[in-house]
Amino acid sequence: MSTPAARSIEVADHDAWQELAYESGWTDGLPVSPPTAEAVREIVEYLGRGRDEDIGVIPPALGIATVEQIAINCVMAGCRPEYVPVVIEGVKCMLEERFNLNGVQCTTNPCAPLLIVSGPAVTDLGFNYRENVFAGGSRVNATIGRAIRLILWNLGRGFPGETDMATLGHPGKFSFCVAENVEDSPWEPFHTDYGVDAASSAVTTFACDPPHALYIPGDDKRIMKILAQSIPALGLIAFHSAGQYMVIIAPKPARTLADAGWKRSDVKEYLFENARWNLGQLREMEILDETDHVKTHWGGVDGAPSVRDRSDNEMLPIVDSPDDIHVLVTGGSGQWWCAVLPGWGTYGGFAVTRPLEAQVSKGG
Amino acid sequence: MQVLVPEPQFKSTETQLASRPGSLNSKVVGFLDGWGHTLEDGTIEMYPLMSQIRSGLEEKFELGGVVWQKKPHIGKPVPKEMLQEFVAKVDVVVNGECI
Repeated sequence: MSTPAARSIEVADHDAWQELAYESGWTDGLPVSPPTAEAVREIVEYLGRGRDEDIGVIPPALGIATVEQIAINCVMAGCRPEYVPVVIEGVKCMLEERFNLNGVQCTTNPCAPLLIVSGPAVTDLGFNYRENVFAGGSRVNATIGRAIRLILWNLGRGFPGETDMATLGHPGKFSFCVAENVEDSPWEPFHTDYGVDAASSAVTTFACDPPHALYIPGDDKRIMKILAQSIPALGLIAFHSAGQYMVIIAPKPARTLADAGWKRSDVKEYLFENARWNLGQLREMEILDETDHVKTHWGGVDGAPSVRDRSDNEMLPIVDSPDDIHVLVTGGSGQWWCAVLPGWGTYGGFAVTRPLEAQVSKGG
Repeated sequence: MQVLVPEPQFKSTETQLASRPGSLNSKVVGFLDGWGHTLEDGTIEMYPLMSQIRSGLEEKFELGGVVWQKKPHIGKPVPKEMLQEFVAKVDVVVNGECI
């Protein structure tokens, strides 16, 4: 049994712990479970890794995410030990350069890292991937998302008004974790788009706004046309800086599309070609300031495309390529819901997918 | 009940605040900013807020000069070589931060 590296303190009872956690700033407002030495040890032993093993450094405060510190935050979040490999993989995703976690933590944009789990781990751990998938009802979804947030809070110290300068933020900053509904999806697992073998489990992180729900009943053409018309809102950060966005398609519309021959890559290609802004309309509305890149991605600054020499009937894409559009099937099967989750523009937070290295046992 | 506290070790950045000059008179002030303002001819000049800070400083002090460096990306750190070259030219830096 290894010796804890973290400072250990005695508290009288659960209430005393809770008050201490609030006074010490160890939580963002929600109550947290006491990280008892025993519970932390249980996670470390489950992982079979050293307490001091360094998983990475969490910006902006540059707190070192050791296995033990991750375990402490996972206990506080309410995770069972078998959930923790998913948390660790999520941390590794966020620490890849293109995710730009420092920026995600500090930006004025409301974005929060969304964790997406796909593959056999979804059923092995008991994730909810049906009704209310973005909200409550499942311990594994809620506590893994919560652990990610507490790690960003306690190790990265993304504190509002100090380092986290999000003008609005969003509720996903408490917990933001979903799983793919691979059981009802008509397509290959989500992670196959990112080079992970279909039979594997994977974790993806993507910094984004909360889901904006879209109700689109009908046949495949109607679904895709309305989806394409609904996405290009002028207030999207993509209007200023492109980047990436995620589209959620519930199983019912996904099945309708697949039955009509649509593959996931077709959906991305169609949205890239059709979810666009009309240049003439932008000029007519006098909202396209072509001389100042602060106002639009289309100012021709820093390698961005310029619209100066383009005609009024040109349609401007929201992002640079179909690969900047992520399509995930999740949620309940009963209705025709879709959703769009805009990313953080060109600044970072790009989707990062990693195979789940550790085997996870079936959860309770 | 024995609990382990969520207080990590922090990676030392080995960075300290630079010493502050007593006055900006004869000092070269560097403006480092991700934002800029594009003119009709396509050239980029300082972002209006930075321009106003510059004017304010020029009114108060006899500056030794002004250097403006636009960051290549507003969401990422400035490349090391660019930063070293910039820092070598200036005495103090006004750093623009906002994304």
